[in-house]
Amino acid sequence: MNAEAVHAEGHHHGPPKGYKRWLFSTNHKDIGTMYLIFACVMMFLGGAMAMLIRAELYMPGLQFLEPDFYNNMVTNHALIMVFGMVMPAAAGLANWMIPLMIGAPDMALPRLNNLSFWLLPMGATMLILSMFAPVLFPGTGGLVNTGWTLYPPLSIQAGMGMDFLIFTIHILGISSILASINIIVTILNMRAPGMKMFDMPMFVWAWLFTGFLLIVVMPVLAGGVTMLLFDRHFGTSFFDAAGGGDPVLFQHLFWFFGHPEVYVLLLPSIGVLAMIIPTFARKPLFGYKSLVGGMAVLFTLGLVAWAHHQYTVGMAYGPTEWFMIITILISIPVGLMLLNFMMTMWRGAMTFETPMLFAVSIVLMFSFAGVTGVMLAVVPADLQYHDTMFVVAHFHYALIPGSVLGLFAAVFYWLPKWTGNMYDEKLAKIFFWWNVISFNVTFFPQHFYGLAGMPRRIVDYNPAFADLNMLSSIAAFSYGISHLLFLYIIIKTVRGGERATDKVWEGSMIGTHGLEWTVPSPPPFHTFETAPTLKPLQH
Amino acid sequence: MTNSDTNQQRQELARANLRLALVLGGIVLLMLAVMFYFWPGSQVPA
Repeated sequence: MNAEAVHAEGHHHGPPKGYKRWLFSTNHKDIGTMYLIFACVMMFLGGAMAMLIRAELYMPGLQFLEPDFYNNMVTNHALIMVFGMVMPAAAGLANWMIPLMIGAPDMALPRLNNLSFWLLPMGATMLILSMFAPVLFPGTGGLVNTGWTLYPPLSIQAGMGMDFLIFTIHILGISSILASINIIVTILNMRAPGMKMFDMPMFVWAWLFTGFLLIVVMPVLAGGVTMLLFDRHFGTSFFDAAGGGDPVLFQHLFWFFGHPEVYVLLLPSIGVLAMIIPTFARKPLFGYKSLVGGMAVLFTLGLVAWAHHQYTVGMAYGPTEWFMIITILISIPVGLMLLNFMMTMWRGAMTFETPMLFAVSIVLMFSFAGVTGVMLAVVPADLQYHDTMFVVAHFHYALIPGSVLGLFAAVFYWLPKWTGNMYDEKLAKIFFWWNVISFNVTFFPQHFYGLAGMPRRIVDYNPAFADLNMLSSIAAFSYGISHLLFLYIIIKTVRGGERATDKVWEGSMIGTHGLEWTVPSPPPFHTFETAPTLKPLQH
Repeated sequence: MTNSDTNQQRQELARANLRLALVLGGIVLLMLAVMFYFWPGSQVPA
C-alpha cells in the first residue's frame, strides 16, 4: 500500500458531531469520560440509598422504611456502589490515562471498549428494574432482601427482582471482563517503543493486576449466579441440601469472587496514590519494584483468602486455619505499600494541594482499616464481630479511603489535564475537609456499637445504641451532601477556570516518563498517532 | 510490539492484540470450567 493510502486510512478529522460521537465512540478519552459520568450518576443513586438507610437508623424502632425495603436498600446500595460506581470510575480512569501514560494512540480494541461501556447502562437499568419487579410483575414475590452476597436459600426464595439482579451481574460481569481484556492487551502490546514493563507508571501496573484479577474471578461469580438461576427456575439443586446440593458452595463461589473484588476496587486507587505522592513530595516513588512485587503478592494471596468471610458457617479446622493465616499474611504487602508511600514522603519537599491531602488521609485511614482487618481475620475474635456494625465500619474504612477517596484524588489530580482548566483549589480543600471529617464521624462510632453487639443488615436496633447511631446518621447526611460540592467543583472546572499548563503540577514528571504530561491540556481528540521516543529511565 | 506507522505494522499489531485477547478469553473459560468442577460442592473446603 502506498503512502497516500496509508495516510487516508490513518487520517482523522476530530470527533463526530452529536450523539454519534458518544454512542459509537471508539475514542478512549470519550469512553473514559462516559465511564466517569456514569460512575458519578451511580454514586448519587447509591448514595441516596445510603441516606435512606441512615435516616431509618437515626432512631431505634421503625421510622420510614418497611423492613423488606430497608433490606432491599442495603442490597442495592452495595451492588450499585461496587459494580456501578467504583468499578466504572476506575475503568474510566484507566481509559483516560493508560493510553496517555504508555504513549499509545488508543486502547488496543476500541470497538470492544465501546461495548464494555454501553453494557453498563443496560446493567444499571436491569438493577433498577429489580426494585420495581414486585410492582411490574405482581404476585411474583417481594423485593430482594438478601444483601449483595445473595446467599441461598434466601436468594432462591426471593421474588422476581432476584432474576433481574442475576442478569444485572451477568451484564456488568461481561462488561468488566471485556474491559479488563482490553486494558491488559493495551498494556502488554501498545507501549511506546523503549518503554519496558518496569518503566510503566504505577497506575498502569495497578491496572494490569486488577485486569488479571477480574478475568480470573468474574467468571466464577457469573457461574455461581447462573447456578442460582437454575436452582430458582429449572429444578436443579446446586445449593439445595434437600436435592443433594450445598448452600455453603454458593458462599465459596461468591467469596472466591468477592474477596479479590476488594482488591479490584483497591488496586487502581493504590496506583493513583503512587502517582500523586511522588508528584507532591517532589521525589521519585520509593521502592518502585517492591511496590510491583507487593501488588503481585497481594494478587496471589487475595485469590486464596476468600473464606475468611464465612468463618461462622462451620468449616473444618484445617481450611479455617489456612484462611486465617493467609488473611493475616495479606497485611504484609499492604503494609509494604503504605511504607513505600510514607518513605516517598519522607524528607520530600511536600505541598498539600487537594490530591495530596486526599493521599495523606488515605494512608492514615486505610491503615485503620488494616488494623480492624487483622482483628477480623482472627477466627475466635471474628466469631464475635461477625455480622455486626464493626464489620460495616471496617469495610467502609477499607473501601472509602482505600478506593473512593483515591478516585476523588485522581479526579482532582487529572481534571486539569482532562479539561485544560484548574479546579478551584479553595473549594476543593473545603470539600476535602468536609468529606473526610463527616466520613469519620459517620463510620468511626460504628466500631463501638458494633463491638457492643449491634447487628448489621437489620432495620431496628437496641435503644442502648441510640446516641451513637444518631451521631452516625447526622454525619452521614453531611457526608452525603458534601458530594454535591464535589459535583459543583467538577462542573465549574469543566466550564472554565485558570488555564492549566501541559505539565499541570511542578513535580508531575519526577521519576517517570510522564508521557501524559507531554500532551496539551486538554489533550487533542487523537494523541500519540506517532509513537513518542523515550530515553532510558533510571530507578 | 509497539504502536506503529505503516499499514502492515498496524495489521500485525491488530492481529497480535486479537490473539492476546483470545488467550485472555481462554482464561475466562478455564475459570468457568474449574468452577463447575467443584459441583456439587463436596470438593470445596467444608
